Amino acid sequence: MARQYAEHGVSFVFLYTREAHPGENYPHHTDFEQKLRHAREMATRDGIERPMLVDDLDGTVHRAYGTLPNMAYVIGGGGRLVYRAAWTDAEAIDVVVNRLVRQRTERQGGAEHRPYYAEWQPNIVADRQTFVELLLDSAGPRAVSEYIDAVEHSMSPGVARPLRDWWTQHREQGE
Amino acid sequence: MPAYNYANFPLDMEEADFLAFPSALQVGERAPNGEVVDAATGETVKLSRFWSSGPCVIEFGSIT
Repeated sequence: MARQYAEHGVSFVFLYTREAHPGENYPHHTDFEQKLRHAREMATRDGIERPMLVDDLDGTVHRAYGTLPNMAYVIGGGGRLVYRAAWTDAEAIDVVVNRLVRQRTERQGGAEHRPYYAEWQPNIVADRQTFVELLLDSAGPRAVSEYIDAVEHSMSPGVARPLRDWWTQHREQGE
Repeated sequence: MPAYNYANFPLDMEEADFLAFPSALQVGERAPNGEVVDAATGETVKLSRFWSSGPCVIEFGSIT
């Protein structure tokens, strides 16, 4: 998407934050050099071609935008917030950016626009099993244990049970 | 409330941050600016550089 919109003058950037699920492989940040190193590893690991930007150690920019782990923002050319979401949803971002680009062309043709306010709460797939498997690969076993503990504590033992069973079995096989 | 760079994932799954998110900023407001380091070059840049000549999409995230 970043490549597709580059010719229309839209910048796509990635802002690297604290580690959401610290583990053996990627523990929490204790100095800026480590944070920068993690950010560079992430760009390579995940093949991120967009500019990889790193916040300070205290997360000043991350906190100014709301501190969530996978937020997305679209900012208009004038520096105003056009779209903000608690989750990065490529399909939604495409709709927003496509509209911005198209309307800029329309304005050049003399069209007049006015904003309207909207709120929207779409759903995403909640595939916790795939998530913990990816987490095991990226962060390591401690992050998996802590995530399952948190699901059990914050949601319900019922939601956590399939993850707990998988994790028990996984560890038994490893022994 | 745990430190920003918590060492262990919080049991409440950062619930307070999720609850506060809707009112943290409003669309139509000026985007918060700040200094960030471009990981590729090590150069410190203003975030506003990326929306100075056109729209900008910012995705936030980490490895884990």
